[in-house]
Amino acid sequence: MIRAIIVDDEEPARRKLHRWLSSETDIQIAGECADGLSASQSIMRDSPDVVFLDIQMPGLNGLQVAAQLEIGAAPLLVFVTAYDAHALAAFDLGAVDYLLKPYDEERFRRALDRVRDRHHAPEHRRSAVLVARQQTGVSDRLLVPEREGLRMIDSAEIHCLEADDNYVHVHTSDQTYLLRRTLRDLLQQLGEQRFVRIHKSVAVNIDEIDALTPLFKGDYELRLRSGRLLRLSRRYTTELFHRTGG
Amino acid sequence: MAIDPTADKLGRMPQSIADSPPSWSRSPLVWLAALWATLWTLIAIIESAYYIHTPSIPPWQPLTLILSLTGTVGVWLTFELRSARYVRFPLEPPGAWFLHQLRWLPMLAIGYVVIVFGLRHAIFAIAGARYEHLPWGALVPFELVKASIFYCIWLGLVYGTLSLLKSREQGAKLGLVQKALVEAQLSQLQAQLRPHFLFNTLNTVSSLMQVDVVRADRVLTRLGDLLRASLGAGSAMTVPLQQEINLLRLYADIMQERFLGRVQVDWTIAEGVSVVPVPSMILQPILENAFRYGIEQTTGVETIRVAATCGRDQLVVTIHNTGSTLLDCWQEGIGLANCRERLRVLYGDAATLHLSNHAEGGVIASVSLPITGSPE
Repeated sequence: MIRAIIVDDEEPARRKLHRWLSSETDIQIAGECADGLSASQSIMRDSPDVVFLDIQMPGLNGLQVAAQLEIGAAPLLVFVTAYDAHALAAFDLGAVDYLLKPYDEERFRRALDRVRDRHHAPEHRRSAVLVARQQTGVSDRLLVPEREGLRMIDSAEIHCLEADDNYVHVHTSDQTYLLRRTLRDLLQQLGEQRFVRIHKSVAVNIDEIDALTPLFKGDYELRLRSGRLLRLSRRYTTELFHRTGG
Repeated sequence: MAIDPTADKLGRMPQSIADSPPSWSRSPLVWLAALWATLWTLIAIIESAYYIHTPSIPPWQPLTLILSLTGTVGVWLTFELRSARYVRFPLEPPGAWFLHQLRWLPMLAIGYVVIVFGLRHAIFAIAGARYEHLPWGALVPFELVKASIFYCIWLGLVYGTLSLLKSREQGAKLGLVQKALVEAQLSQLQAQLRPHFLFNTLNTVSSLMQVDVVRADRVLTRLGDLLRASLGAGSAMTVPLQQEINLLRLYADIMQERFLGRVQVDWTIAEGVSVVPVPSMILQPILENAFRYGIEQTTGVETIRVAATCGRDQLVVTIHNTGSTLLDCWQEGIGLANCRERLRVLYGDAATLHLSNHAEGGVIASVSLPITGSPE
């Protein structure tokens, strides 16, 4: 069974997809969303296999939704849009399919066949998210869960990132958000400019580093501007000193 | 009376075609006056032929006669041209224009006789000679009639010249207005064909077709009407407000079908405004903006209110949308700029287009234009 989510801010557009998808025996519609933020939430919550994603939407657009997905666990994406040919050209490497509105049933079925073919091929999902990140240049903003919903934070607000199994704690001055992501994926999304690893499971915002105190065996104690104390592992000192010009 | 050689360039059209105080250049009139003064000089020479052909009369005498006449006429014409009263009074209807100008005739004719003959007698007296002419009883009526006839001919020439200049200027101005309209149509068409609008509407039809053929048909027909209106609105510069409102309704209907359940559109069109002429396609870009910023970029249920009211001599149309706010760094887009430019070309300062944040939230756009003095 392939679980699908439909995302479009126009009701008739959703209805059209719904109609054709629900006539397929191997497709189960897991949800419908009318904007980018609720789509992100629904994808996180329901982990669908495929998302039919409109690009022009209020709030977060379709490309931004894709860019914020966790690379390893992203669903297959089928962009459904009126006129974003230039944006879609980047995806036209077989990584993902797209439907240009208006489309007919035959074109829809072809897209669906590709979804079936790639259902078990994770590399397609990975490259779709990567291309979306390149397209949106998303490193300045991060979508984080907050209470029942989601919110966007500026990556400059982030003090440090702490990995914890399959989760990452995102610390800002007054909040800690828990994301189901790997530290590596998050650093890839946020870009290497702002953040530097100081430990296997910890990365800090370079601008937030306040002081370093040598400990034994080449390790350091690192103090952030917020006062938080962290350990800088010997393995990462070279890179940190290089990046901070020390 | 502003005489400005750049007045015919776009951007300095202060008034509507019907009511503009003309901004013709006076230089053709100056040439006309020079020609006229030359004619008078010839007449003066003919008048003083007797003096010229009599050898016993010293040459200063005919010269005095000629110069007193041409000098007086010259001063008179200079005064006439400086006062600009020919151009201050509307050329239409011609009878009224002539009557208006002729009010000055008695004063001018009498002044002419007094000055010309006063000068001549004075100069002759100073030189110790005697200036002989017809007895005053015959001379004065003759000279008054002569001056009047010549003044009427002069006015006829002035009128002809001004009419020619005005029709030329109107032609140029009409060209400008038409150019602005064509630009508006083009940008309108581009907006209409704005790919997102067109393709999403087609997709809506494609979706509706599966479930409700009648509704799909209606959306398709409206899209057709809207495209046709954009293409064909060139035949008239202004249309009755009702026609413009119909266009807005077509657009709003399509958008309501696309954004089903996300937008409510209210119409408050006052009695009696439906026939007021408005520039064609002046309101649609404004409604489009309301949808674009108020509806397409929000997730809630928003409202758009279109209202048209009539003041004593102003028509006011407002389009208010919830769901968006003008930021400080807000900049007007090409659609609005185009509307503003067209209003300025057609009505000058008498029409306004104003966007502001509404007290109860959202953005309100207000178009106000004069009912009287609307363009022909």
